[in-house]
Parts: sequence; structure tokens; C-alpha cells
Amino acid sequence: MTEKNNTILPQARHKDLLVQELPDELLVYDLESHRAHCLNRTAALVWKRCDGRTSFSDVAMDLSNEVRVPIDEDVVRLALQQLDEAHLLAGPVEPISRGNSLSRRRLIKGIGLAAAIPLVTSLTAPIIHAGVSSCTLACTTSADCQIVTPTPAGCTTCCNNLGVGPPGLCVAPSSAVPPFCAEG
Amino acid sequence: MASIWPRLKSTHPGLGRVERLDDWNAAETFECYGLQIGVKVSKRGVLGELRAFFPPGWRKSNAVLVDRLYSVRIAAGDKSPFHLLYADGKRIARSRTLKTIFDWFESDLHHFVAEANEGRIFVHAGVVGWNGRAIVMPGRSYSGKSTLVAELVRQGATYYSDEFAVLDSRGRVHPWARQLAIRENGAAGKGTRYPVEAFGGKAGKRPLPIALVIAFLYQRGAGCRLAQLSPGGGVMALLEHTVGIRQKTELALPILRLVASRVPCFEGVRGEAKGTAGTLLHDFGSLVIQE
Repeated sequence: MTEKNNTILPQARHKDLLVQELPDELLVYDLESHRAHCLNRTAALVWKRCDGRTSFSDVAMDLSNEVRVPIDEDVVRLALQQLDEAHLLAGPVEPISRGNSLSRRRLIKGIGLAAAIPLVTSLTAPIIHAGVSSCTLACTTSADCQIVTPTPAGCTTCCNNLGVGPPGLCVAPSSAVPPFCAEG
Repeated sequence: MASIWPRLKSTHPGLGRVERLDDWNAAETFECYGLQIGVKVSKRGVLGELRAFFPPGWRKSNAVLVDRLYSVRIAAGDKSPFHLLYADGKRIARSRTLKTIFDWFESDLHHFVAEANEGRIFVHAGVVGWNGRAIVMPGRSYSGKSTLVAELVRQGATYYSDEFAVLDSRGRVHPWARQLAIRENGAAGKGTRYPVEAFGGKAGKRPLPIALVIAFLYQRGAGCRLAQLSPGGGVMALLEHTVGIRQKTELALPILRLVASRVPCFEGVRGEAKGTAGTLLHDFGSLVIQE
């Protein structure tokens, strides 16, 4: 029998997050970074128990009851690691111990049930709106593009890779390359 | 006479300079999804051409104060050889060809309506109706949405949109049936516009409940294979293509959740539109990879 781990889980972050419950998943939208995170059942369960009072052992036991297979505390650690990377925790996470980095493959091998492994998938919400067109200007030759240097206020680049405008735009692939007309 | 021209509801830095120009010749205001939009031009005949790019469902309006104001100055010889397009006083396009100006006008205007309207969520997607329900195919611009939608229409589906899935709070999809923009052989640009009748089809008029969400990735010569997404994966696939999600998060998330938790969502690759459309409509089950 393994020794009980009384290490306490950190607190979950709740500020500036929008949460939507789904069957067996949790969708968390970060209003600060505009990143959306989809937590599978295991990751969601760990996140919900991050209250600054619950121990690793308690959560591992809850998970075992939930998925009906013995769950290692490393599963909880992997969940915390992913939740931390997604900035969904308010407090610090203790570094992974035993000199082992946790891998999904190793844990699946140990548990034998892929669905029990925590998974947080994330994406950055797109900037697709009318405002972006003020960062881009149509052109017919590369000479037209001189009018976009310096870049218009509020734009970090002058490019057409946002999928909102027609080609024939001034394009600045990097700060080292001056804008040129994609069709010029 | 200047007072009859549409004016922005809110003042805007830079707007005054364009407003002070006195060579406007014609103007029009229209309403779309509760937004008042004004257009003024320096050459009367251009207004009629711009009308072809107004968003689906627009209605003429008498409002003077508008939410968005477009101003088009037409080139005038060697002194000012460029046509200029302004939105709310900011120049957004400068070109020697009017077509470029029209393309930018349409792109900016449609995205403005998609983002600024209250109550509806616009997802970049192709949409068709089939057996009284909608098939929604989210995807980026230039990802082949229009070509696939056209082929689905050719094979009997009802046209809803090749640009946006317009979702209401009940998760239904409304028509946004602009003329289809088809790029021949993958050519660059906005493509040629065709009415839906050119494909032997008709446009839907009523909102439909959604039957399927499919996020396709086109690969030349590939077969069509789909894998089912979890509801959370479905929300992510829709969210990735939702216009103005950063501004309308609280409205959009519950709608996307509603759709993805009720409707099967898939992602996968597809090859040519003709084969994909036929299988999609008549033998959908054969496309799905069983896990």
C-alpha cells in the first residue's frame, strides 16, 4: 500500500474566467488572455477540487471512484501541470518530484484507460473583426505599400494572414522586410 | 446641404477631416441586424454598384445617425489617381481599381455586421439545409467553403450561406444567402459571384435547427474521412471561427455550448467537392471513422 500524500492542492483561479459545463467536459474561457480551454473529465474534476484544502490523496481517491480504476497520484500531478500551463490555478504548483517528467503514454500504460488521463486542450480566440481591416491597406503595386510605414496606430503588423480581406494587400512578413504588395 | 448626409452616432478621431470634404454627391442609409449603416460617395453612379455588396437582409433606412459610416472617394485624374475607401473616417483601402474598393467595402461591412450586431453570433462557415435541418461547415476564408457549398446545392441541398453561420440564442442557423463567391481553379481574389440559381438551387428563408457540424480541411486528392469530436471539441471548432468572440464572449459561449452539446460535431479532411458532397448527403455514415 502506498503512503498517503497529504500535500494540498493549490487553489483554482476563478477571476476573469467564464465557465461552461458540458457532458463530461468543462469549457473555460480566459477573458484576460482570450484563450479557451477544454478540460476533459479528469482535468475538470481536479480543477474543481483545487480549493487549497484538498490533498492529492483525496483527489486521487475521488478519481478512482469516478472512473472505477485505481488512479495514481501522478495523474493528479499531470492534471495540475496542464492546469498550471493554462493559467487556471491561483497558487503555485509543487515541482514534479522523483525526477520524472510525467508523460501521458507512461500513465496510460500504468492505468490502462486513456479516458482517465487528464487533458487540457487550448486555443487562442481569433481576432476576426472589422477593426483589423484598418491595419491593412489594399494595393496594386508595391509602391502603394509605402503608405503603411510606419504601421498604422494600434497594429503590430501589416499583414493579410487573418483571413478577412481580399488579396492585393500590403504584406510585411517581418520587421526586416518592408511591406510589399502581395499581387504587385 | 451637408446636414442630410449620414453621420456617425459617436464622434471619432480622424473623422472630422473626411467629413469636412465637400465633394460628396450621393448617400444612402440602410439597416441590417439592428445596425444603421451609412454610405456616401463622391460619384453618384457608384452607389448603385456598392448596393450589390450590401449584406443579405439589408433594408433601406431614413436614419441620419449611423453606427458605421463608409465614404468612397472616386479617383479624379492625375491629381488624385486612387479611389479611396474610408470606414468611420479611417482610410481602409486605396486602389486604382474600383473592384478592390468594392471587395474591401464588402469585407469590412460584413464583418462589422457580424461583430457589432446584438443577439446573433456569426461563425465563419458554409451552411446548407438538408431535410429540414442545417449542415454547418466552419472554416477560414479561402478554405474552399464556397466550392463545397455550391456542390452541395447542385446535389439538392438548400443554400444558406458560403460566408457565415448566423446563430440565434436557440442555436438555430439563419440564412445569410449572399451570392456565392467561387474562385476558379483556386485563383486568388474574391472570386466570381454567382446567384444560387446558377447551381440549380434555391436559398433558404427560415431559420433551421442544426443537424451536423463538420470542420473540414481540404487536401488535394484526399479521400473524405471524419472523426467525431466531443462536445467540448465541437465548441472549440466553432469558437475558432466565431467573429468577434473576444467582444461577445458571454453571448457566444452559451450558444456554442448549446449547439455542440445537442449536435454531433466532426472534423476531418476532404478531397474534391463533388465526391465529398455526394457522400455527405447520401452516405454520411461511411465517412465517419469508428474509434
